[in-house]
Amino acid sequence: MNTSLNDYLNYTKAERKGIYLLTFLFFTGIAIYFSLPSLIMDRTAADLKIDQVSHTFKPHDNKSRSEEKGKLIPDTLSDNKNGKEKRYYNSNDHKSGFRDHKKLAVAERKKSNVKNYSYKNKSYQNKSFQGNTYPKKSYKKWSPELKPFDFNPNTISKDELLKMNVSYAIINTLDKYRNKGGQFKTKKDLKKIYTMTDSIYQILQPFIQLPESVAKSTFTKPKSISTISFYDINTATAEELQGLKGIGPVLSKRIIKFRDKLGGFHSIDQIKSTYGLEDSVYQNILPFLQLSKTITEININKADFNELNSHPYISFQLAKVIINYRDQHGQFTDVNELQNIKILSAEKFKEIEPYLSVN
Amino acid sequence: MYFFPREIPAVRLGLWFLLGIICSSFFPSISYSLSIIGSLVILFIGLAIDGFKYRFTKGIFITLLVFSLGFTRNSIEETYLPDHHFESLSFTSGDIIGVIHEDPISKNSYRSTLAVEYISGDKENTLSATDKFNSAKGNLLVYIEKEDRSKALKAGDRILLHTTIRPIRPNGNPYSFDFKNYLHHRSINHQCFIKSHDWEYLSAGHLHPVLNLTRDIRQSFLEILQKHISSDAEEAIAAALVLGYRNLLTEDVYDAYTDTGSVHVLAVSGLHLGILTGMLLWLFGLIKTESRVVEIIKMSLVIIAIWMFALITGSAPAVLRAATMFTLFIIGKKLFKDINTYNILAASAILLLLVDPFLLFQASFQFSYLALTSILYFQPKLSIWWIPDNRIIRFFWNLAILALAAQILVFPITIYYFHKFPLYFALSGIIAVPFAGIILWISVMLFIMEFIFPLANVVVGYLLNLSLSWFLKMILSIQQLPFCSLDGILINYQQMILIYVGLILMMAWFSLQLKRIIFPILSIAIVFMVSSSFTLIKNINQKEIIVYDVNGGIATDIFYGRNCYTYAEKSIKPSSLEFAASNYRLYHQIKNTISLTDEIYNDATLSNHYGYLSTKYKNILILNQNTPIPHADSLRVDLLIIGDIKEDKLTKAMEWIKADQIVLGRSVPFWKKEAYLDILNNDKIHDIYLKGAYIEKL
Repeated sequence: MNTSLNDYLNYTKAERKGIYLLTFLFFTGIAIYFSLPSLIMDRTAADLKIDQVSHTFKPHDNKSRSEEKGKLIPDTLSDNKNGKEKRYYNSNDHKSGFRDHKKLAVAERKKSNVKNYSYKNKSYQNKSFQGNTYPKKSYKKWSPELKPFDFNPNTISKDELLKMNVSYAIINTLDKYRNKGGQFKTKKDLKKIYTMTDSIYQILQPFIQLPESVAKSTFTKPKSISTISFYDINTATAEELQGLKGIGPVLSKRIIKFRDKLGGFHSIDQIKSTYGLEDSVYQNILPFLQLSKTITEININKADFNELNSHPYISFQLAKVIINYRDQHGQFTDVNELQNIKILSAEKFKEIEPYLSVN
Repeated sequence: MYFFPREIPAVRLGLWFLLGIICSSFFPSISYSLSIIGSLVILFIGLAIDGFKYRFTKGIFITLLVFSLGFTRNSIEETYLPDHHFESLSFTSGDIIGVIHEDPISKNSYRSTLAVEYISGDKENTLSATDKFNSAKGNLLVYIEKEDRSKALKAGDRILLHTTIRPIRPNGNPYSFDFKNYLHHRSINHQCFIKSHDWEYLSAGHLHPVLNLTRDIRQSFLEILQKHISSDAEEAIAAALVLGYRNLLTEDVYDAYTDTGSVHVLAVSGLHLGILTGMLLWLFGLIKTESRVVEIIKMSLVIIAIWMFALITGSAPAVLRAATMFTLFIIGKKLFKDINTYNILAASAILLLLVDPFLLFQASFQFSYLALTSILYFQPKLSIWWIPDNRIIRFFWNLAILALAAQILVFPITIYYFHKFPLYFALSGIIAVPFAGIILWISVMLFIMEFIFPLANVVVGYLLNLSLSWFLKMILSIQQLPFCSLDGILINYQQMILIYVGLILMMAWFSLQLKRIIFPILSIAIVFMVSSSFTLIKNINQKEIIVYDVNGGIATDIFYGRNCYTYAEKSIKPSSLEFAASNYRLYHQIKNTISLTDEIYNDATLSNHYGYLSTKYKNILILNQNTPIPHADSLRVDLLIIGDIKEDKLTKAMEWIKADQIVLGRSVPFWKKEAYLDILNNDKIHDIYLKGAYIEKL
């Protein structure tokens, strides 16, 4: 029997009716599928008694807690061998009073570590790693209720802290900190405990028996710009220069010596080349420097070799050359005549020119 | 003879429906509303066309209609998100209450799928700003940290989690298994990792009530098996074969069956269902009756038994397909006289695809339909080659022909997925099928006897043990035979399609007896041979470097012709490297692999000096915690690969080194990347985490 390709594309009336029926059923099915969620999604979590569940994340028997654990406060967060880890195989009647303190503590620590994830204060959550951002966990739900009372972090005992329902992580680190000689001088010092989280600190803060702040003796507050004085680098004395941040007795003397040798600074950035003055210090003092043009010039017609040589910018050889040139060509009429000296480069000339004169 | 168009309406419909689904998978972003509107438009145009003159146009439109229905169904599955889906609720982190869907699989952690029931987001990022739980739905892949507590989790357990969910990261290595796609076709698109303190067990037994019941039944049957079978391996085989419980199977047992081509007996499929149905029909056939009512009762009982079996053994798609097909077959046989089996096959396929179009992309669905079609078509044609007189020989010969017929349409897809082909499939077919039948029979007897007359079960148990141990021994000895499995064949998608086109043309040639079909078949064969020669020539001359996307360190391969130099840090798990690299190496037809794990290596093509690889064409430097920074005033490299190293070491190194191209390995932690990008003053940086493996031609 010859069946051509056309027969496959041809549908009899019965077949067509069947296809239309199927299409109708298809669309009806889709319509039901789309409207299904609104019909069925009326179940609520109340059926599950979820509210009761989330309470059981805390130790469920608060008053006996210190009794059952109080005798032996673990010194380190080692494996809690007494933890009641049950197998939940086919058991419907356990309560999930499972969360032993170690896990709470770890959760607390993780919560506090989350804040340190942004490297160098750049929040990498702004960059879009394709589909995955690093998780930002928050365990707010999982901390037990604190019951704080007045206390001094320097002297409070472990048992007392336990009564506050503070987690073992905080207790242990606090203890270690104190044993190593740490002291809390102000309320904020309590934040130094690395397992302390902001939220817990907020709760405890009113109860800390410590002053808010201690008078600081070391640092003086930076003066406001209007009262700051400028230092004239050409006329300041060594003691005056020590008032600049980063300039001490040695550096100030060196600057003075350099200045005297030069005969005065003609521009502020000459200070940079003082021996031992680092660029960072220079940047720090730069806003406070001023310049008055009091330069003592060297008379190139009258100066002798030693005088020329002792100038920081004039080398031994250059001094000799100047003297020789003067001997050969006679007195200088103008400082620019020095440019005729062949070994004197243009930059060098620019450098020494402010310090030379012909009278 | 069987392909008369009038006889196979379902096949014709099914073909276009299927093509619609496939076409939609290439355009997953087309929204479902667009597809629905398109289908309706085509429907109305088709309805409007009338008249004998236009019957072919109408036919085309009807074809297009069915095509668009398939397209619509798949696009709904891809793009429709119900309002309560947690994606629609913009949930990214918070608390989830859900039910575990399948027994967790044990790897580095326990992995399972979770059906979400309620969510309560973190206050910053959820629609509901309250602390309450809201109804939600959706599926999640969960990885739970291994411990005693999580070991006890099973399907149906409801748990409460606190976690952040992320989309599943697509696979970064070329040609390796695409987990994201695999999971996407099971409606899972997100995953989360749960540490020990992040989850709480709530209660058990929350699957569908029917599934709960069947689970319990399966559990009790498993215990019966356990009671009577002594050896672990045999118990695993029995559990998989009879009850579809595969968690007891170990790697070596599974491999033995895969290599011998009989792994299909370990997965409950149409084979088992067919044996069961045959058993039941024969049993019920013993009750001869004229009354139609009794006939109907018998058929209904058989159908119920089939579905109970399907559900008890875990409702795998293959079983469900077979159950649907057998149900339709039985009903059809009762109501109509002649039925075309291809039609029934196609009808069951359409039904299943209407329910879940993603089934089309799952390997088990593809395998079972191809195998069955292949058997239906080729078995009659092959069995007339030789009909032995001896009944026993005929029995075994028929089994061998059955195995051969099944393989004809299945071998391309076997090679595509598994890159190997079992040569002794006929041999193992002769052994596996009868043994599977025997073991099934004996197990059913065992279960029945346990409730009626437990004491006699000692005998039955002994028989079961005997048959199981013989079965396993024979399979293992076949595995020992040389040339058991043809390894290392890699074909890609296009080549597989080409093979199927060739096979279909051959089938057409058989059926229609047209000599002209030989030309397309031959041309396909020629195209195949030519393309594989070209590929071989290309691979002999290849020079390439690939830096793999693996965790734990830097792994790179350098291909020189058919040799592969591989540098992989010892901190990388061998299995992960295998997973990332093996298919790609296969694709490049690598013959020798030279491992550069020693610090210094030298040969004509490449030299390695503590991570500084130099070849004739390019030089490559690998920087990680263990490689020393080369001492040079300055070093210019073509490729710099950076693993997880300290920032000061990197800074020191970058003073000497200038690189044309920099690759950041997957092992670099997120928070270090900012710092690295500051230190590396370079435009050409390839981050493997974002872009996948790095491939460059040398």
